[in-house]
Amino acid sequence: MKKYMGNKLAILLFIAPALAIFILFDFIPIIQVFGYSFTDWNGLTTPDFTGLKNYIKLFGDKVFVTSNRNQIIFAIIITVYQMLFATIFAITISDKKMKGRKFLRVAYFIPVILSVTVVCQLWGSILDGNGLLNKLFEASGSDFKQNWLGDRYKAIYVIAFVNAWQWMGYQFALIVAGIKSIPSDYYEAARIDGCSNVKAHMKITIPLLAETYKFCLIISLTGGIKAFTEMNILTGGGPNKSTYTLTYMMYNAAFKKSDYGYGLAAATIMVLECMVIMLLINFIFRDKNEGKEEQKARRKRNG
Amino acid sequence: MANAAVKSAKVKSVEGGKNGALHYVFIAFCWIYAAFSLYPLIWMLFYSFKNNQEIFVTNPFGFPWPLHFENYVTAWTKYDVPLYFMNSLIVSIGTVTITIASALLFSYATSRMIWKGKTFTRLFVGLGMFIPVQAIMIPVVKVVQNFNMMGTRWSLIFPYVAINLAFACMVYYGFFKGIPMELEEAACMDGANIFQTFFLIIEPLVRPATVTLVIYIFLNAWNEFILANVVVGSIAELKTLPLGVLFFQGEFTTDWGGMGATMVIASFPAIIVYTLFSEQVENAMTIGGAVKG
Amino acid sequence: MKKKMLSTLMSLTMVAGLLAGCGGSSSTTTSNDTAASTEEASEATAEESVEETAEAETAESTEEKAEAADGEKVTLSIYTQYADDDTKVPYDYAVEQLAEAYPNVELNLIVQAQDDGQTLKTLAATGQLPDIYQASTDLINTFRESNQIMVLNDVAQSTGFLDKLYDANKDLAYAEDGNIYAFPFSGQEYVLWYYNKALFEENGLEVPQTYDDLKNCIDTFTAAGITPLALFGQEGWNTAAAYDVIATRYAEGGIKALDEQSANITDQGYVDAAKMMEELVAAGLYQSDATTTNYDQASEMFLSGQAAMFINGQWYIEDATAKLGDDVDWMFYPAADAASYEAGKSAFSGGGSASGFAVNPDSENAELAAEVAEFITEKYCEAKVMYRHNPLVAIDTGKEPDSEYPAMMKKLSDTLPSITSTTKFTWGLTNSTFNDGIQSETQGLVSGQFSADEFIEDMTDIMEDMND
Repeated sequence: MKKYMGNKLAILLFIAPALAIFILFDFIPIIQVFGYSFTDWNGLTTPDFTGLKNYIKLFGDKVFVTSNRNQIIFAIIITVYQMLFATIFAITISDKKMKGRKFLRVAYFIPVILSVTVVCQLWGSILDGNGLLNKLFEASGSDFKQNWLGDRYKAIYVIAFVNAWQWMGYQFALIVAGIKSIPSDYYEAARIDGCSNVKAHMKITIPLLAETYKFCLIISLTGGIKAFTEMNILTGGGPNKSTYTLTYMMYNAAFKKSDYGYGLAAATIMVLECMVIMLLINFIFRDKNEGKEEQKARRKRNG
Repeated sequence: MANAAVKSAKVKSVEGGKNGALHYVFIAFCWIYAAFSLYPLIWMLFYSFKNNQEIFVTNPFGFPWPLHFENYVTAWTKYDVPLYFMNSLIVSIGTVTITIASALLFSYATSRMIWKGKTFTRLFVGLGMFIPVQAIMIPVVKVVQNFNMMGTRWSLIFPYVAINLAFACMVYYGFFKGIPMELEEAACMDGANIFQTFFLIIEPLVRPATVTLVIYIFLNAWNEFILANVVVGSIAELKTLPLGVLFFQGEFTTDWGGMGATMVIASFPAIIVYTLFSEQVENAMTIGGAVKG
Repeated sequence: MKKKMLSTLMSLTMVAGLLAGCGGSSSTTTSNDTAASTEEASEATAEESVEETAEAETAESTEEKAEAADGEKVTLSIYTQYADDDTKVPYDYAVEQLAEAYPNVELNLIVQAQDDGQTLKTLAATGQLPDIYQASTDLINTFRESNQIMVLNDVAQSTGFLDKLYDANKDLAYAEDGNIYAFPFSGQEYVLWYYNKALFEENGLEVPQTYDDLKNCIDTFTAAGITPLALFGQEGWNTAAAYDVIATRYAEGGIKALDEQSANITDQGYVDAAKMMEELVAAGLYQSDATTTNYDQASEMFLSGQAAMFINGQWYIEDATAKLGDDVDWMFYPAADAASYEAGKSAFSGGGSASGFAVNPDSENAELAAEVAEFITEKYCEAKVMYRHNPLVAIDTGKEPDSEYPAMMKKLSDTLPSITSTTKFTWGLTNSTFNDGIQSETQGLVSGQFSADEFIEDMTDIMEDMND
């Protein structure tokens, strides 16, 4: 079996296309980004090597602190919102008895189909000072009217919500697909054991979809750290850079200030942060799963 | 499969009876949230029939009246909609095909086959998820130039594949991990070679993942703007639909109604395709599940 | 400076019809053999602006040019704005004229993206710069370092561009090193403080001269449910201009002096200006969500009478007059007291910027592209004068507008001779670190969530960083 699954030619053929594309169009560019982050460069002329200068400047930059704070808030909100709602809706939709489930499934996915620009325009107009939301509050006599996108500290939560709202549909689709691949006998067995519906899902669906959840966690968290477009359209990073992220810092430095090297230093830190998170998640999930699998494999070999 | 479905439905009906009221509140919530998700479509449609004054002052949320059909006329006359549409379609389909094919093979090799360094290779490619396009744009365009792809559709397809690859590989990895090893063992016993095993037995099992990925990657390619603008922005024959909005954004003022029309033109094909095919999507997923069960 | 303004005035009054007749002071065009006919053409236009004659002459010159070129079609790519009337009208006009003057040249338009130069910089970095591109001060400075912008001194001379360029705008053509890198089409421009006369009258208010008057206006308008001043603070330049109109009341140089580092943000004038702005924000001068308001929103507020005042460039005169007619006017910026109000009437915010059509030196047809760039620039100016009623263009076009100038433009042209000092729009600033900083820091002030002290503190850091 080991020989069968270790077919060198097959492995090579299988990984070659993806690896080639990745190395050419992702890895080589990343290495350059990394290299240029140690230089003073405007993107056009010959770069001057300046060592750690960009990084030292970056760590002393007030906006760097704000950016990291925003990324953390953003990542946490979208992770919680998306995973929670995606799970609830996915389980509901998977119930064949649910009326209109096909319609609901399409509806939940619609925001994913729209481009980020459309979604941001929409929410921009809802959250505007004279927007729908404030008008609703006004009409209901509440004085909860807010400057949703213009608040130095709170705007980031609102932007995170917009992102979470849009991409929830995708995690939802992933979890639905995951549930489909769970053999229904498992639920039958749970029923025989006298488990309630909710309990059955807690016991079966969520653990069996551990890989899907791990993946959802990674995309939410890293998506939060990478965030840029929503800020760019909804607030332009303002007021006064208070809704910046590292990607925004990179964009601003590279294209507005023609300080490409500094921007790439910010981008490098961001990529490193994402890597650390991915490794951390892999580490946390590995402890429980890989161990079990190994045991299973060992048992099989023995048997 | 159908049998199993009935049974699982029974399981749930037991639950439903217990706390009926709460159940209905929950159902209501599901529908309200759905309305909340569909609202942008209506809003966008309304928006595309308004002028700037209506959008910002007189009528931001209501039904557009009078209907400013001229927004569509301007959009249609300002750029070659059918051409841009075809370009978007070709690029998106090319991106989907190559991404799915290479990610499927790669993930199979890194999740189920046995070789040294597979975890490293997998995580290595996973790096691609974290890279903001803005940061690697200049180097990527240089690579495209080095391969003499400039002026062809490959100049968009390959970078798009690279952007989506890591994501697709991770989704597949999760799905492959969940398939029991016994399948390959059985296939091996039956004398199938590894390629047959993969294409005939394993690949159909991950169809649900393939379907969700196809949709996701297609949409990503369909809606992409930044790279498209840099790579084909100067080549009229290769421009894609998202670039249409440029004709409405001035340095100071924007024709928001015209932009709305452009956004409708760009989004509705995707929405229609998805709605029409969602039935097939459902079926594809069910087949995948059935084979497995 | 006075001399400059005087010449601008000359141009203004001339186009206003008072001095019609001395249009094409001397115009030599692209190729020498056609110079004569074009000269005739421009003279004909200047005299009574008889369009037909001009066209006939141009047609003549066209033939000659077609002969000169060996008939081969050349396509030049051009990266410029093409979205609203202010950019579409001049471009379409230029293309039309180009087809006659250079029948063998075809333009491939690449519409400029509103992306802080990201697209153009990436194109430059990967050697795909278009043949002709619209370059801002910042881009000119960046591309100069990498030799991706052509020196146009000779072309400017041979095409007669320099002769047509108003003296007041000479500094817009030349970069710091004394070379010409771009053909400017906009002339000196000004930040105007627009107000709705009807709204002021209805509420029994006089045009504010001091900040105390202004605060009184704010209170009255707020009580009446009218936004005192609609700002489009999503765009950093507008918040920077909002600060500059106050700063210039205390220190004439405004943000320009800071950009040139001839003044410091900690100077008393700038500190006072920041404190005053903080007060005005607190009093409610701008709408509460000013920092997330875009141009179209703010403009609609002003044009629909929901806002009483508006800060924008003089190019807005056309749109404002079209919508509000006689109800709209501009005022001199209010100041701390009556004396400084009077004194400040001669100091305006805004100014020209060294920007315009530049040429890619690596282009296959660089020489031709340079000629075409010059031609397009001239045509842009003509179209702006004729169809956009904006006489504040870089060169003397000898054209007249297709209808009378709006009252606000006349008032501005009457004021021009007395203007002794201008500053810069943000796109005319030379230091990109300062430019980025002043835009976001003033946005912070406008939001009301950043104090004047914070502003001064942050700006001090930014200014220390400028030479880095």
